[in-house]
Amino acid sequence: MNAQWKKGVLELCVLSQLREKDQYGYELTERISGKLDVSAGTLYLVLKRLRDSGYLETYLVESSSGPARKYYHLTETGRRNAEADRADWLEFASKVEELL
Amino acid sequence: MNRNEYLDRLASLLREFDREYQQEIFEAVNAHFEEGLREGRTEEEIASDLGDPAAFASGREAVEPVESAEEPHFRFEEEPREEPISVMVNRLVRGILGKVKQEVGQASWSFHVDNTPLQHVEDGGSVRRIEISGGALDVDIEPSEDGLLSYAYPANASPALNLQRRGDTLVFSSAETLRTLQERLRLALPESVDEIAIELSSGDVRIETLALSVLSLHSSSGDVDLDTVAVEELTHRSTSGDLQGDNIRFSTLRSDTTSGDVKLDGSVLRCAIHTVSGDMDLSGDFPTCELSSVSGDVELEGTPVYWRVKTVSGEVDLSLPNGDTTLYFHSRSGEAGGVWRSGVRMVEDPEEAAIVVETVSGDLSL
Repeated sequence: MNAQWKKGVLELCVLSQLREKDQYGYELTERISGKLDVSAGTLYLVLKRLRDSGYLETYLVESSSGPARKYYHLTETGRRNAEADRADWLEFASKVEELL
Repeated sequence: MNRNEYLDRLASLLREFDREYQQEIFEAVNAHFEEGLREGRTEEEIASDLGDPAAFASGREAVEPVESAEEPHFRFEEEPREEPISVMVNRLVRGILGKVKQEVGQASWSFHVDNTPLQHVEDGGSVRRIEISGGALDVDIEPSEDGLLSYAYPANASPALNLQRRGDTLVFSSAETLRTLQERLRLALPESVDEIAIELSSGDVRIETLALSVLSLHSSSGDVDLDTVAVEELTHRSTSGDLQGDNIRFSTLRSDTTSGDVKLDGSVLRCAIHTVSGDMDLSGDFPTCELSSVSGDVELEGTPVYWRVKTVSGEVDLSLPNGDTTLYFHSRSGEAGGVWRSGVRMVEDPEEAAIVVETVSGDLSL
């Protein structure tokens, strides 16, 4: 996939994945990198950036099978942004589709 | 690339970044390895999922500016005891230096193996400071038997060694070389020398039976081995090189490594060590210690006056003698265990504790 396109939509993908439920890093990065051919490392940087911008929060959950997991949770700002960006994207994608 | 190789590579790439960023990335990467391994994947597969470690270094610049790469790693925030440290240091160091000078007198010539003859440096008795710089040069330093300053370096060696005298300073330098071109410089020093500064890229340093006021050692991948050495102020910095000391007595030590381990046996009055993934193993007398590491383990044995230990995922293992002490322990997911003696009292306020251990996911054992 074109690197420029990917860059633009990664944040949206991460935020959208977290709309339904909180997820921990491994779970989230596996899901996205399975579809988009993007390294987990890049996604951790995206997660960090989103957290630094106040779109995400993290908390730790004890795990029975190993060390505690860090879960990512969408903040109210994050949720509003995710929804606005999602609507923009869908509108954009449908117009592009008409032109293809 | 396996997990250790990945973490080492990451550690050296992130070296210039602030510590908060290093820790955050290390935590994420570590957790990713843990999860992947739990699912039965190999370290190599997980490393390839994570992608090129260099992305964490270049990605950071794209994300936000680096605020301060030069943040000091350690600060002794306050004197741990009002009265004594400086007084105590001076008194002890004088005693220590005296004692080691005696040991120096009886030292035997034990570790040279090559046959390169020693050459005397003219008027070497007035040299007070030695500076050595060279890429892959190995350096061995011993006390002089005859009171003269001498050195040995293979005559036909490439690169050639330059010798320069500046006042009471003697400078040895060799051009940066390929790692394979390993040459060895051997030095025999009289008592007049009390400062040494060494800067190498991959060369190893070995010092035996010497007392100095200042010793500064930088070698990115070379190891440092000190045997029966007393120094008032020792500064050590390396990327993957280890620091090992036996029968050492330092009044101040600052060591900063990425993946290099630090192993010391002896006494250090004030000790500050920071590693990213290197382990620390200190045993003997370490009254004041500030140790911090991301994923390195810490083993510390001695009598605490003021100990501060911080790790992200590294395990902490403390061995304490009998007697009362106070401990403050804080961890997000690590546990404290081991044999708790009645003399160890847990306190709520880190300011009140002789020992403070803070870790994110590492365990503490006593």
